[in-house]
Amino acid sequence: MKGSDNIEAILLHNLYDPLLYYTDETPPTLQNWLATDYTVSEDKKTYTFSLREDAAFHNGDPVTASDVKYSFQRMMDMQQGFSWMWSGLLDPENVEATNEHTVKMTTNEVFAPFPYTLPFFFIVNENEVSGNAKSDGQFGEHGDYGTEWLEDNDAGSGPYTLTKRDRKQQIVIGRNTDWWGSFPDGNVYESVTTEMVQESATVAGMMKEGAEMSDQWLPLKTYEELDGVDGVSVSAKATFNPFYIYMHTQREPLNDVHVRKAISFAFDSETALNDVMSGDSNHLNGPLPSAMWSHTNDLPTYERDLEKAKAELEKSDYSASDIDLTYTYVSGLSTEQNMGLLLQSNLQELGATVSVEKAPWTKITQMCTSKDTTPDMMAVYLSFSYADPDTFLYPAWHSSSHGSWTSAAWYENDEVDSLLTEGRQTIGKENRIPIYQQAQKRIAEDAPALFVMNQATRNAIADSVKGFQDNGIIGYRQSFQRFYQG
Amino acid sequence: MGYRDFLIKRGLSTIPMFIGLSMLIFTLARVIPGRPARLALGPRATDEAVRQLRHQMGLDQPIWLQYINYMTGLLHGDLGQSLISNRNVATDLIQYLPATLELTTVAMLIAIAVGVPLGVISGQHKDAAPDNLSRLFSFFNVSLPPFWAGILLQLIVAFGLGWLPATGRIGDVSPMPITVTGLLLVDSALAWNVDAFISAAQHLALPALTLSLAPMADIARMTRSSFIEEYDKDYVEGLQTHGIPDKLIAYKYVLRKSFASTLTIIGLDYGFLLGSAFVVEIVFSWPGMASYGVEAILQKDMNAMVGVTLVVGGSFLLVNFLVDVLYGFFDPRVWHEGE
Repeated sequence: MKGSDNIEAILLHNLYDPLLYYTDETPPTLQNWLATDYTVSEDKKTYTFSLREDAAFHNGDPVTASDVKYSFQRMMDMQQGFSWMWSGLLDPENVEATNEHTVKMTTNEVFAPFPYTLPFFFIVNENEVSGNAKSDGQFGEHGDYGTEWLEDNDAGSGPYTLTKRDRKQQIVIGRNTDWWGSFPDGNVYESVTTEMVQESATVAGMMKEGAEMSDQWLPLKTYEELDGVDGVSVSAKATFNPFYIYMHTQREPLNDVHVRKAISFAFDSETALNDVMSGDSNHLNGPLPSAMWSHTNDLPTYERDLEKAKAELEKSDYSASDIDLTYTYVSGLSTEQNMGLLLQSNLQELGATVSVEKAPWTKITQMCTSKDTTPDMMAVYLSFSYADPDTFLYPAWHSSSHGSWTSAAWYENDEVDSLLTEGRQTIGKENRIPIYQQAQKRIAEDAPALFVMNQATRNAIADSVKGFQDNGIIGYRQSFQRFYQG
Repeated sequence: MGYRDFLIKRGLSTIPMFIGLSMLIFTLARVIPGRPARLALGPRATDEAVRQLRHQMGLDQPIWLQYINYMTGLLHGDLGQSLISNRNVATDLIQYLPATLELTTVAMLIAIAVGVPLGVISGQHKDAAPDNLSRLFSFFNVSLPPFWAGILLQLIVAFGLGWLPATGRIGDVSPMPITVTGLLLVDSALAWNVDAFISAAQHLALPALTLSLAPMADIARMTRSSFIEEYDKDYVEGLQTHGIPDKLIAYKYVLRKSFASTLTIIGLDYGFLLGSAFVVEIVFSWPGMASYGVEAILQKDMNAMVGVTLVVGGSFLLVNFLVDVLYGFFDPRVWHEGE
């Protein structure tokens, strides 16, 4: 399983257990899960985890250190799913099972966010997976690493077990009554069915007819409609879904900081939040969403002010008529399109021209691989990985990330580079906060993007469903062991 | 040329068409922008991992070599690995194709069962009230977008009246029919599993009805016009003067002679349904090949894209061939041509 789509994320969070897991709060912090505790060595590179002794896989096998080692080896050999988080950082040979319930992991360098990545490392049953691997796979002696078998079976220790998986139709999971963890008191869900329904009108119909929870991908209008239905409420929470409009800082005229500031002052973010969106998304103040720790409000901000915009333009080497830009958005995403049209009309008042162009996502990712083909301005929802500021800042603003859609501004600032590197290498949240605050400040001063909004994530939920939590982690909203019927 | 020679000649001519189709599809799937390895591994996979996967997928080879490898695999029933499901595309297609075939076949049967009598009634009563009503009905059907008709049927029949299920292919029945053909109606009938048969039929009713509307209109219109043409011939009058009942004339003599052109439409529409079922499959969450194909295109899962297109294209060629076979059966002039 790659964990890269929603269904797989739901399965991972319910069928498998990681060593550490996130708490319900926003921003989430870490809690022990399969590990009862862990220690960090003096050189900050070796983490030693003690595993719980009462955890067992669904077939009854105990969860051991050897399973952890195998799970890591398997993931890194396959190079899929979340393996990018540890690629180059932790080599499989540096994961050791020192005894049945102790695992030692030694990273190649000091990487402070490491523990925050571990909730994405799910442990599989070594015996079961290797016993069911197809011999003629692409991974040598490991065959297919059990990939095919795992499509219809599970080898986890999590709160639920896989009952049925009908591709494209539904998945059914049943409660694991032998789970080591605890379910809430009350009427917990013995079985949960996830139906795959692609058409929003059909989802709305099903919610009205008694379905208990929708996903987060319905059109805004459908949520508004569902919010008015008896027995259904819509949860809307802005967590970690920042929307940027990148400006290509290495192409004229956007390589001039004053031009970028002029555009920032000209853009009407109030209209963006209230009219393009329905008003329940947050203003994004700088590069980090306010839900993330280390976020600061002590940054230069760019409220709409045409006079200031003109003044900035005066300071630049360009006149308004020199500014002729393209804004590129992902085909089919109407929010991104409307943001582009708003930007177009805002800049028109300044005398500048913007052409709004769409492209398929696959094309956009390809365009961003080169400085020459990256669009002048580009709309992006920055994706969220682990609950650490590094997840947003490093891929977007560190110059070593260039060539990826996450860093479409081609931003280069030595001070920011060294701050972001330092942030990765400094252990302890309290020590890292000032570093990231300083980095945010420097980035905001350079205005390499319009930091438009932090979009609310919505789910429609039946009133009978209790225990819903949204801490911003994909798949976590649907980890059903926290749910019960009220 | 005898009927057999006609069939052989017609059958052989589909082979170059299929090869041409495969070349076209294969090239298109590889030249459209997007990086499948990157998409498969996720946006943040390392370049090294992407390079490795590209190598595994053979994407670093020249395109003609990729094509030859693909076609060699195809001859052995290997359609390559799907990036979405991690399985061989052939395995996926075997799972999804029966669902689509069942849906389109039942839709076609409904379309024929309603469309042909409608066309005959229309033709018999040309320009009278039944004809106008039937034409209005056909016009309505053909202009109704399938997604809209589908949602409307769901709202009224499934959610409003609660008569039929809105999504899925079968409910929770025990025991589930064992897969023999993959067609749930057939499998449950073979096993005398009444519960499963009823559940499958209930789930199939709305999507099949939705999908049948457009071909129903086509068939009715075509039957009507060819019927009228045939009905005007002298022998019909002769039969009438001999006092043979109108119904018998219409269905036994006129319809049989005029059916060839309707058959062409049925064949074309059936091929077309296979390719266009995706809208209906999405509205009703029907786990068929069309929605698999759409996902393949969105994810640039090349092997899956090529596999789906070849199956749809191949089915189209096959159906057209079968139509020609029947055409020759109904109207021997087709294969006597050139004698």
